[in-house]
Amino acid sequence: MRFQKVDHLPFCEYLGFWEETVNKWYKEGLPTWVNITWSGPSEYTGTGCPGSKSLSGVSMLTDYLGLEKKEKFPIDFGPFPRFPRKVLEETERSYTEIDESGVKRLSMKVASTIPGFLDYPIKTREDFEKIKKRFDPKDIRRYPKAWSEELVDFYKEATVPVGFTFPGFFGQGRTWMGLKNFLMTFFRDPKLIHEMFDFWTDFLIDTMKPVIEAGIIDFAGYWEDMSYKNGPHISPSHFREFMLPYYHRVSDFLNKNGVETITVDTDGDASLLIPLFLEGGVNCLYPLEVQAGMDPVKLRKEYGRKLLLIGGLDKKALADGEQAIRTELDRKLPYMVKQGGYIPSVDHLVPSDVPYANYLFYLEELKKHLGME
Amino acid sequence: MSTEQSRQLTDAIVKLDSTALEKACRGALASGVPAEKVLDGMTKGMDIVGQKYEDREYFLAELIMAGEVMKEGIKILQPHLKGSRARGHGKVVIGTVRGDLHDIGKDLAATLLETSGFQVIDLGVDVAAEAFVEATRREKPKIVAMSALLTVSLNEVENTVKALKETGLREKVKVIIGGAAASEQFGKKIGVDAVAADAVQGARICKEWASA
Repeated sequence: MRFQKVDHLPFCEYLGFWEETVNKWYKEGLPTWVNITWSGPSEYTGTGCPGSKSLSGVSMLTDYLGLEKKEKFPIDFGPFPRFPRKVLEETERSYTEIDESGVKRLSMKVASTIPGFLDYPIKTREDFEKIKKRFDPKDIRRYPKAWSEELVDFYKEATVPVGFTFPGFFGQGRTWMGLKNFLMTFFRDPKLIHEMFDFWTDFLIDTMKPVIEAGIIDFAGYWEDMSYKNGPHISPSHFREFMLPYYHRVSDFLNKNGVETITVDTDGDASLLIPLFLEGGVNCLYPLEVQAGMDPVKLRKEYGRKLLLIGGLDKKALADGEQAIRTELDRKLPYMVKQGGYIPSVDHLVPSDVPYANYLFYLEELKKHLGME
Repeated sequence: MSTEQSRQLTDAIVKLDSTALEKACRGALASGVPAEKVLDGMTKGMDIVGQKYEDREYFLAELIMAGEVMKEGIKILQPHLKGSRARGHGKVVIGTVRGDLHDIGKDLAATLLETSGFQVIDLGVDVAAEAFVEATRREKPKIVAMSALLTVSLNEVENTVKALKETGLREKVKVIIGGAAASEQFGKKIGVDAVAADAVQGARICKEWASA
């Protein structure tokens, strides 16, 4: 990501795979001894973050497919104590539960998919004041149990990039309040939005301080998910007023401490927000969902080297077949490989309508473009 | 209704101001304006909000807020509205298809349809083809609307359209689909009547069908 000469761009699946996809692939030729495990508990931490059933940290599958890895440093930005998990209702297909973040959610048993979110822990200012107690940055459970000079040395000698993501302002706001209520609060109680973001800024900086100041982090990034096919959920002017001041504070802290790559993860069409992300100190965007009109070639031509890019290879092409895969890669990769500052990857978690054979074909074609044959 | 009263109603929706809308609604009703006319003024406001959304001046946040303000206004008008005018456009059966739990787009579409004068039967999420068929048989809607965010959900959209055909219901309804995964190409392939790029466009298409 420094636009230096390299042997090849990263050969990886940056976001990973849905669990359902891998389970389907077992029936399509993936050996069943290739274990799948949840992303979450690191061998060092024994902790995990409340998360979805995605497999971005699956070493065995990554190794089997010959993919290159990154190391996710396991900081836990979740609530402590966790909300007690409680299953409220269960059917053959699904279950409704209060999860560890205090969110009432409907999850499928029969497939891994983004859950349906039904109710949230923050509805009022009083709820916010109550939940703050669960977000103490100094709680020792936020860091690996083995956090020590020895662990720092381990990471300093890592031969892969080391980094982490954290819930951004929009991401955490919607987790706390639900998208609808959160968006309405921008109008009904803008002061509360500022209070929440101000609190979250202090929490993020204080929580990540030890690992950032240890100098072992190559990349760090915001999880926002604040856009969809039709653009951002809030206007650029709302972003400027409510989010940019806090972006400055977090990104300035990361920059000052030598973190070179600051990412934002937001699905859908994020194009209207890119100038604001850049202004806020972000220099890398993913996953660049193709069906929402995001195109790494177009973005590189528009923003040049200011904007690093990850993703942007159409999952729909992988589902459609070999010709579609060839066309997709032929259109984008010659230019992007020459450009650098780009990590080729599918534009979200690999979904289950992508046959295993198609994925293997995609990897072979990708290797050709990266000069890895 | 005076021009000024109409402007106040429209502006309150456009400015997302529920306090101003309550004042304008109650003021208009107290001065003898029929509830249906008050609703017309508010609907004009929603049309402007929809246009601003399509012009990328308003975003999802404004759309949701406008929908809520509109709902609050309709609550004030409800006791005064004659039933047929409140739901003059007929019924819409709406749901997110089986295997998909996303509801933001569906809920927004339902709000816009309701505030436009449709009676909305919301089947929720993870809705099987059989449930769409059963609801269509029971409710006799004019329109069946399906939401699909995930590419893997498109199979279920196709299954539902097939199920409506096999039960002889397809020709009795208009079918519209929306969601991140839905494309014009897919819509043509499976034979729906429209593919909506977003909830605003979907509501507009449904209103055009109802007025035809």
